[in-house]
Amino acid sequence: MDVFTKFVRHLLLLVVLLVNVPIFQAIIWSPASNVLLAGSKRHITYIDSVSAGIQNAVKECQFQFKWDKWNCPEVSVFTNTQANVRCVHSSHRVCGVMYSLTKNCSQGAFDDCGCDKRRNGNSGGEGWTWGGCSDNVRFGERMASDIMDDAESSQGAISVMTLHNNEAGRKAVKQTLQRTCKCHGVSGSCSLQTCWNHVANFRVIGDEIKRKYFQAVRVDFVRGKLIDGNSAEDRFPQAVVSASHNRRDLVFLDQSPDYCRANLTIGVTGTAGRECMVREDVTEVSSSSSLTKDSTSPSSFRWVKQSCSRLCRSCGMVIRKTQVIITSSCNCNFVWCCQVKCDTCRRTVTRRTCQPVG
Amino acid sequence: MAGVVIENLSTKKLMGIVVLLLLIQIACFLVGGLIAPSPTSAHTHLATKCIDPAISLQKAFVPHGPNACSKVSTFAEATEKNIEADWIVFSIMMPHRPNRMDRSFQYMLGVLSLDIVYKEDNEMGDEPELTILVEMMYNNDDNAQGEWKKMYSINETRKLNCEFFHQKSPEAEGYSYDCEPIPLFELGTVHHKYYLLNIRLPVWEVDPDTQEVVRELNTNLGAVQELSVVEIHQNGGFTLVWLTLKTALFPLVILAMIWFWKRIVQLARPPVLLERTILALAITISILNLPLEWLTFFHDMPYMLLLSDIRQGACYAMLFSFWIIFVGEHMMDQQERNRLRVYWRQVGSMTLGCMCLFVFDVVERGVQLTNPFYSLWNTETGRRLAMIFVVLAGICAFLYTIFLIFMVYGVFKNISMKRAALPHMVAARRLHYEGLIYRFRFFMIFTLICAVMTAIFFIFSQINEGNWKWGEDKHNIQYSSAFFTGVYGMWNVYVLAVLMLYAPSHKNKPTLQNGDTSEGSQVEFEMSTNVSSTAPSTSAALNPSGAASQAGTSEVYQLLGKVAND
Repeated sequence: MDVFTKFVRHLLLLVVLLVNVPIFQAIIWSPASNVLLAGSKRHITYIDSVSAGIQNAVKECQFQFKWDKWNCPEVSVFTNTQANVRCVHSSHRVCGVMYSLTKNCSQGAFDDCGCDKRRNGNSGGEGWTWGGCSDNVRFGERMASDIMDDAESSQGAISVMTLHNNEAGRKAVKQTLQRTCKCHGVSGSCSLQTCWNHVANFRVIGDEIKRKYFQAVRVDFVRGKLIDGNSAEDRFPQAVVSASHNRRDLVFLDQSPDYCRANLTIGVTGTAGRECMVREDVTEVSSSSSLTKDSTSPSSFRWVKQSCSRLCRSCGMVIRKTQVIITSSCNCNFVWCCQVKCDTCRRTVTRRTCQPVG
Repeated sequence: MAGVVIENLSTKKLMGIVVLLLLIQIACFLVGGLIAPSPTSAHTHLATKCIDPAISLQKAFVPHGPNACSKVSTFAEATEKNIEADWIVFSIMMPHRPNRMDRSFQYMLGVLSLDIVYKEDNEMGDEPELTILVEMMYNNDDNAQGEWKKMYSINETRKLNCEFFHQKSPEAEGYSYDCEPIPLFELGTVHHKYYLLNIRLPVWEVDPDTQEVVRELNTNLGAVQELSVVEIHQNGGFTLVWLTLKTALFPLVILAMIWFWKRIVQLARPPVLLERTILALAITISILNLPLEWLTFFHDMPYMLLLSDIRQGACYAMLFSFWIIFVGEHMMDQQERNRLRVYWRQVGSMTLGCMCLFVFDVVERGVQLTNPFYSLWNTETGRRLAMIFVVLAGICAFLYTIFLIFMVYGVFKNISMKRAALPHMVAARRLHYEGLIYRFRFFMIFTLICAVMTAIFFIFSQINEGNWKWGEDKHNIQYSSAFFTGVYGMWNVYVLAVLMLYAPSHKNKPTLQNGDTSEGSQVEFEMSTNVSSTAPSTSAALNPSGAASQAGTSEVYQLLGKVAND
């Protein structure tokens, strides 16, 4: 990886972190920030959108991996792990960015996204009047690809892997797109109908990436290409094997590190102190029927109820049981937005956390 | 109407005409598929959440630009800032920067959709109703700098149809309800450059006189996250291609019509029903072809949508009547026809059906002239009324189809009967029936091809639009546009062909001069003997009316003349 890209990647990290701190938001808009994004000024318009997208992605990632050993900690966002969790990161990020760009584009936030210049030849006036504009999703995809892939300009293994996972991430957004049609022919008949796409709720996209994560393919980096893993002693010719991961799959290079122990250099925080659940908690919190049967879903009954044994026992830790009193709002009276009238309720809950032995 | 052009045309000339029409047809398809863009385009506009603590309904809230409103990005932010629900104004400016609307867009539809997520403590209630206050404004200044002028200010209540596909549990928080998009408005004209929508979701209904709260509104919507409006308009390129096509076809049909009518007038008999029907068909399609829409580039004509619907409806009605009459006049069963009254059942059912749709359309589009947010489907009674119209129209269409199929079946039965008898007939009669059969066959095949093509193209374009595939624009063929221009061209070609091929032929003109007015007494005897010998069931030979149609007694006389002529 060349020095410049590395520099840019660090700056990008800086941007994301700064955005989280309101004080620094003003600094971001200083002229100096023009160089922050992959060195190309043309993307500066989208900086807000991009950072909002990344935040969104991290939040979703943490939700999705709440009951996994690796729980998408913020420190890991830009660390150079090559393990399977990294693929989740890059695809979540690119999804978040694509999602956010698409949404902001529909909001009219950018001057140039309403009309895709590439499609109509010339922007604005003529092309727009003649044939309308292309999908906002298409714009989001292209910009997300431009911005996020720009940061991976080297030919190294990690870059190639990230590019692949970025594409898989964008594909995840497209796979979950929803299409709606409206009939408006003579007397409202369907002789004429117009259809459009809209991006699904981000939770749905997160589910899709989680599903892909469970099916992620381990690959090796050979002569600038990714081929399926364990190929050195493989019985199959490489050409055949390399066909088995396609552009929709997430891929990873290294076997997963030990997620039980904290190792911040590779972005692993360990499971010590993490909250978990056993069967009785799950049935207590929500009547067991409410959890989905789909084992890949974060709300899967099996996945949640096994979380204590996965997070604590398999890591050689013990489960600590504590009784805590939590205060929460309840009996809320909502209007569609903003005004909330709630009571304060207190209840005692059993909380289980992982504790290292000794 | 014995001896029409098609019977006397040499194969060479017929092929010439067919090739010519085919070329027009292909040109129509290619123009739509290769030159025109897709007929319509949809643009999603995610509303900006403006803040209006004063609840001033007079001001315009613009989402961006120098006069941009103060806004929040999420409702969580609004809650933090103690902003109340009725301060929020959803602001949408159409179109997106840096574009502007164009008069060639012809019409504009808006579809509203809400993004509502499931929250355990703020679930959506049963049968939620959405009440919205909408302000629609326009601006014609460059870059929408100037003042926004008010167009409509409407208070609407719509039913919200939402479903939630996950188990309702704490884990399902964050998933969205699946809500049906709500049709918001239909503007019959796009006369201005910029449009602005300010949408509010009020929480109280206040009595205008006493200023007291009558009831709470929008209470069971759930946790609204976003509001967006999808704006749909006809593409300017499509409008231009479409109007050019109309402008080109208009004189063609007019010329053919004049030529056809001249031929009829040259005859020494009054025009028969079928000829009058063909003329009426040509007139209605000419009215449809008349490119009135060019005027919308200069004048604000919101009624153009209604006018187009009526013109199109009239054309359908005429086409359906024409089929019935054409088939009826080729019945070959020696019954009295040539009067519209004979077809009252068929034409009546069709007219009733068309009237239903007409009334429905006039109500829907008519009210939309003053309130584009109105739709019959929005209220319960309106929906019932609309359903009645549509069901009635459906029943009529069904009846019509049954009648038509029955009549076509009758004709084919007669044809096969006549066919069996053909070898035993006198040469003149044989030629007459062969002519009729040929004429009818040609028409049937031609009509069938047109109808089947329409159906195929329709289904194809629907599938193409509905099952959309992602990918770069590799194919530059616009199937939907090709469908519209192609089918439009096809029915024009159809009328052209009918005008040209079913006009009276010059070749037997001399005998026709006295053919139709005669009571056919000279040949009656000959005919009745023939009929009784070949088709005993037909007793209409004693028919006194001497109808001028091909099924009348005068036919044979004409045919004798024709044969003599040949």
